[in-house]
Amino acid sequence: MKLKLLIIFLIIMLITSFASFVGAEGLNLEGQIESRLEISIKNHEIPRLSNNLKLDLEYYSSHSGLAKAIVQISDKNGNKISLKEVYTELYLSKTDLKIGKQIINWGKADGVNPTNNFNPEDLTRSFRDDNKIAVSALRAKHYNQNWIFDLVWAPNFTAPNFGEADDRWSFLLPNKVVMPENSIENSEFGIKASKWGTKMDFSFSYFRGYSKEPYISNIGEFKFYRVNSIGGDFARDFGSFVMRGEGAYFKPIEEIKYKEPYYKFILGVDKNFTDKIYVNTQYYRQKEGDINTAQKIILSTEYNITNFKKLGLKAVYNLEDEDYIINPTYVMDIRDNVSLTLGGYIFAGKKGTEYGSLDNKDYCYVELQNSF
Amino acid sequence: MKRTKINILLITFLLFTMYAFGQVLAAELNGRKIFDRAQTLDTVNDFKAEMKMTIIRQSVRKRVRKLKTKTLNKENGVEMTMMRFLEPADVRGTGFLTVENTDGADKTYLYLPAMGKPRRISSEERGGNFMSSDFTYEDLSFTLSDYNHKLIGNEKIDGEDVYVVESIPVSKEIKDNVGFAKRKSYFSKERFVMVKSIYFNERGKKIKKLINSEFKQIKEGEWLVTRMVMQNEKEGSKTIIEYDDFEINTGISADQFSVRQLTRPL
Repeated sequence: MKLKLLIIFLIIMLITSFASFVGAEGLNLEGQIESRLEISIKNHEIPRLSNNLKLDLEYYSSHSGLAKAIVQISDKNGNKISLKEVYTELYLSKTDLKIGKQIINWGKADGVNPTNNFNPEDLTRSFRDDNKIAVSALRAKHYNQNWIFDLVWAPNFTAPNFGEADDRWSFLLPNKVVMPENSIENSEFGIKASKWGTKMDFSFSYFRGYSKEPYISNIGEFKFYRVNSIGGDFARDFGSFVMRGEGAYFKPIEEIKYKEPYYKFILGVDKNFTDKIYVNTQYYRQKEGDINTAQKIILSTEYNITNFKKLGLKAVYNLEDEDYIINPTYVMDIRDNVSLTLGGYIFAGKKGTEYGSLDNKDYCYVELQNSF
Repeated sequence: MKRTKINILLITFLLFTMYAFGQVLAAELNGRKIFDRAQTLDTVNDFKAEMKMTIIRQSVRKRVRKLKTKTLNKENGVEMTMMRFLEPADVRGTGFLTVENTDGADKTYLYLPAMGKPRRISSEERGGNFMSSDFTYEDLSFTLSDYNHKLIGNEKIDGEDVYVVESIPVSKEIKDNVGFAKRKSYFSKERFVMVKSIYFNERGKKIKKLINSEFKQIKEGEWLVTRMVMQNEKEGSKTIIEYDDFEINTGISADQFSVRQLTRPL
């Protein structure tokens, strides 16, 4: 405990020391403090107040490259410190090399990306935008006119974070997680070719690695399996509409009982209807063998009441099981760098369905974010 | 007889000269030409600056945004623009890249550091507010060919002689996109810069007023606006844009306007 407090103190000292060096090129330090109060609506769980400090420390030179570390300090389970990302990026004439713990963002769809398979989810941050876990990887991006060739190699498997017993989603905790053996054969690899065209952007990709969604064995163990996957995506604007699509086909490398090849695709359109209203609608489908395992309508809208106050609504409706999730928000920019969000998560549906099983987990929250 | 012929020739010549001079004057006084002349940035190869944007609302404290902007006018007439936010911290790194397309809609990307990848957005949302300010995207990149410009008069503003030019969108679609039905702009006769512009809705009601109050001479007879104030009559708010650290013709290459550059740190 004392050691952790000492580390926090040292980091604060670092902030103070580096403050005078902050500049466009060179050493930069940025950060964000987030406090969030969550109150359950249906059950009598005690309210949860969590506090996070995120620090981004980077050294940047437009000629040579970037070295970056993102540290997160959370008061959860006794002042937890984690290195969210740490990497070095080297800029060559036509190629960027990135080595280290990083997040790889493949895919042009919004929120659901079937071609984005390297980073597992942090399930303690389910339904939040920043719920991906960085993986240690080597990445090379080669630029040739309007084409980008992207190669990624992640030597070691990184599992999702299922959380701990006192987490909001702790009922999802597995009895046992069987981790794959770390070996060259089990490492993950992907390649993507993207075209950034005048009228349309598109890409094709290949991924060989582990599915980040484990299957449950006969004895209740969570096991990960290797897959080969090919995919693609596109984005094209039609006047004031932008259409985006993304899909991937997955084939398990080893034969697994009751697990057949499957595909996922998502197709959507978004538009600013007036200066104040933004609507994004997507259709998502996942099919395994002859069975639709998911078929969803995903809606995301924003209404700008004024330039500094906005209402948001995100909703997912599962057409197969008729269950859904609704996430309304009200965001106020109190002043520059400080925002206050009031929001909630409402789950509904039949028992045993994806969102219906979370029916008693409805909660509302207040979140204060301060960036510096 | 000879003298009469000479007189006729002289009169004809005089009439022709007067007609030609009149044509030249008319050409000079054409609304579009006045706008063209005032669009100084179109005459430079490239342009870099830091921009400070102050948003003032009645009900909230003033907000200040700082950003870097650079523009390249390629030889083929294609214009490329990149903007990156420096301040405040919660939007730092956010960027826009627009590449003009000569035979269709422009290509526009938005980069949000939290998202980690560029996102293609529609370039036709011209009437939308630029980063919560009172300026729209259209105000910052006024497309002259989308309007019929007409010189409607001469006036004096603060003792300075000005031309008054009326600009009306050429189609209903453009009018709906840009968010106004008419714009009346005032250009200094001496410096050929826009000093004021008033925006009207379909009912002829004033909706916004732009006042350009500071200018910097970049070469003989060419001036750049360095301070713009947009007053929103409806909302009672205003936004001030001030340019600083101007640089023109620095030799920026076209590869500085790419998704690769957009995703790099500032």
